[in-house]
Amino acid sequence: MPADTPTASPTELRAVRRSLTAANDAKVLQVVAMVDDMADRGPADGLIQPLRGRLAQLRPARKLRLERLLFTPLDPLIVPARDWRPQDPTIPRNAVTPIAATVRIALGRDIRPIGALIAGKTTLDTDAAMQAGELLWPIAARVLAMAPLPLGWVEAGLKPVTYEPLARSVAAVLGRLPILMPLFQDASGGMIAPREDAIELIVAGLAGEPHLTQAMVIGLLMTRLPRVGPLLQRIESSSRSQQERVMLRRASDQAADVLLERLERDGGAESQIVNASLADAGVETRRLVMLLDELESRSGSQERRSRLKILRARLDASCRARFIGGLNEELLGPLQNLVTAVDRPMQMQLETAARQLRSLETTARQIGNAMVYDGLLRQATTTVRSVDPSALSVLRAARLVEILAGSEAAMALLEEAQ
Amino acid sequence: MSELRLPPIQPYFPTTFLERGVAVPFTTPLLFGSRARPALRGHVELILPNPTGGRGVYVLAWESVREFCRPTVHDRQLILRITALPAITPIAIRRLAHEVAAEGMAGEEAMEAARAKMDASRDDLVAANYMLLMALIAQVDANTNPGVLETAAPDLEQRAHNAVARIAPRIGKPTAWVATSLEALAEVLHHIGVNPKATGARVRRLLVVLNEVRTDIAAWSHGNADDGLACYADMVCEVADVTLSLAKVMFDAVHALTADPIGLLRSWAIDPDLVTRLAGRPEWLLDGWDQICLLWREATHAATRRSALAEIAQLVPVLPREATDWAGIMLDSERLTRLRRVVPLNEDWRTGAIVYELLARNEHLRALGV
Repeated sequence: MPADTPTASPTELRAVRRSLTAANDAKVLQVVAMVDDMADRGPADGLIQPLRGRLAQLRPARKLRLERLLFTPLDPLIVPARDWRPQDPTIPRNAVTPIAATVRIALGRDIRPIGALIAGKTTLDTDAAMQAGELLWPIAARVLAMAPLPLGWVEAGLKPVTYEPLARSVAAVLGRLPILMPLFQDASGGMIAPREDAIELIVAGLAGEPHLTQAMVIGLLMTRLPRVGPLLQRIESSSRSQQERVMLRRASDQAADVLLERLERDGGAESQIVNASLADAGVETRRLVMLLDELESRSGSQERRSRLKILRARLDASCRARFIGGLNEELLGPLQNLVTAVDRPMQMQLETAARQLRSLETTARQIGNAMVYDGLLRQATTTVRSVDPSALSVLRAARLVEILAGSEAAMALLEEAQ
Repeated sequence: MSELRLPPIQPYFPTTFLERGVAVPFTTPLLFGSRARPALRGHVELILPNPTGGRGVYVLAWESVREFCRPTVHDRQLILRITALPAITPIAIRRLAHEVAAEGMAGEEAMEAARAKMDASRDDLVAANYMLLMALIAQVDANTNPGVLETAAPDLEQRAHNAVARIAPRIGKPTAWVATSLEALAEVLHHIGVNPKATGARVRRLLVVLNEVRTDIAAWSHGNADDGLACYADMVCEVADVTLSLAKVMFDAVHALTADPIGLLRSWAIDPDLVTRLAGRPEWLLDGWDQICLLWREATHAATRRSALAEIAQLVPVLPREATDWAGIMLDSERLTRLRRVVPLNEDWRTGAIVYELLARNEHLRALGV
């Protein structure tokens, strides 16, 4: 940092952090953009820490930086420093900066082509991130496989002894990202079936790796690839040796335990639904339900099954709360408080909200009481039908009814109106 | 939906374009990419791509479709009108689809686009009529008074009247018949254009877009696709190439007619169906590619392009043997069949919660498609 750059005292930073917690979304986004723009974020990074929950909801486009490029694919493995245990297949958040700094220093001039690819780009520029990542991840993997303890490790509150196993495991995961990332992208689209040969290749390559690495890779596969469990179990049972089978089994169990703990911790499952936008709530619910199914499909102890049952109940409650909130705020509220007739943009917003609600409900009813959702949807349909046709045309009402109650109900409404 | 209720998968090697069926722009995710064709006793049957991405198709009566999925209001309206059609053709289905979209059944965006398009279609029709008339005037003037076009008097109406009056006795028809026939021919030709150099007509535009999309897929695949996807890209590009070369032959045949308006009127007098069939061939050939082009163009980054390519690989139209007869080109049908790939898809990718996203996407494609 240049000598003349003004710095804030810890007291000042604490005061700013407090005021930010109460700030509106626009202010939060502005501060995040400013911090992202700093060449050296230093203590300013701490400003973002308490905002992580809100950022997860707002999902702003973040500036692509080396650190983000390196660790975004590993995000499901990153945990708050206070929750991390050295034997866990996770990465403590306070290790991110020193590890990224090590990679940056080791890259030297090689950083230029990567820097050129991500200059001016954000996290929304997925192609640029992928291209830059394909350059960065293999190099970073080689660097971290042998780099000594970095500067800033102890200052970040980490014990020196924890560095080597963690760095080596991160290296092993990064080295596999060029194969893993397209699989993750396909999975997020939901259309292309996961390429079993690629997953088998990844898992087979784990045989010689330390246990922590194995569990990290399997944990990442479980969170990012829906329904990978049966395939993992197949690979497990077709392993060449008993030793390999046991090793895979242990790694999968540990990954499953850690994922379960993450969901249980501090409302992990709830916050991902309740704090998400309506658009993301459905996607998150889908991901979590599939993850719970995965965890349940692994034969576990009675204790684990009980924990999963509790988690499902918590997730069910969160989904219901999010659904009711979304229904009232984004669909019924606007319809009940119409000042002017519904026009084209408003109709499109209402239809989007109705679709997002149905998307959330379709998954949520798998873990909850389907009749509750049926009742809420019936009530919503009645409200839509009760709006004065001069404010909501029959056709527009039918479109909403179609989304909420199906095409038969919409056809009935259209026929009644004729 | 319950896939258990689906009928057995059937092989799909259509001999004629009609047997291949006409692409219907359904919005229900499970029906996306389906084709309609006439069945026995005036019924309509649908040909659904295998939802798993595997080989073969499902052939269903419309009544059976409702047993395994809930079609949207848009799709119910569309199929209801298709069953009332005297003949299932790409043009007829497109017209119906525009009507249904213009009524708002596929949402606000598609409604606005369809209404705007209906106005534009009327303009295209007027333009085609004008172009035919101009071509006729030029031909008559060239035959009777070479060089008159360049120094022509501005009274176009009078010249048109004179041309029609001169040509009618040569065809052995009244002048009113000539005027009416020019309008009818404009209706038949406006989709592909009267002037071979003009690229404004819908089918010619589609040809240009298909060419661009084919080039784009090949370029993207070269740098991005892994082995599996590269195979799909190769297949799509190869079928697109064959389609483009067949289209050129079919366009040339139509424009050979429009280049000789007097001959065209004579042919129309003898057998209007023949002219209609000839002019409709490029539509039949390119039917289904518009949806493919839209899917590709809407996919703007690598992840969505991977999915789009897998979906496109399923939708690439099969070329029936009739294409060989129409174009007079021998096709290596076996090779094209061998090229077709099994696309391993998540079986449930069009069901469950994702249905609502796909519905919105399909309605957006409807808006772009019209």
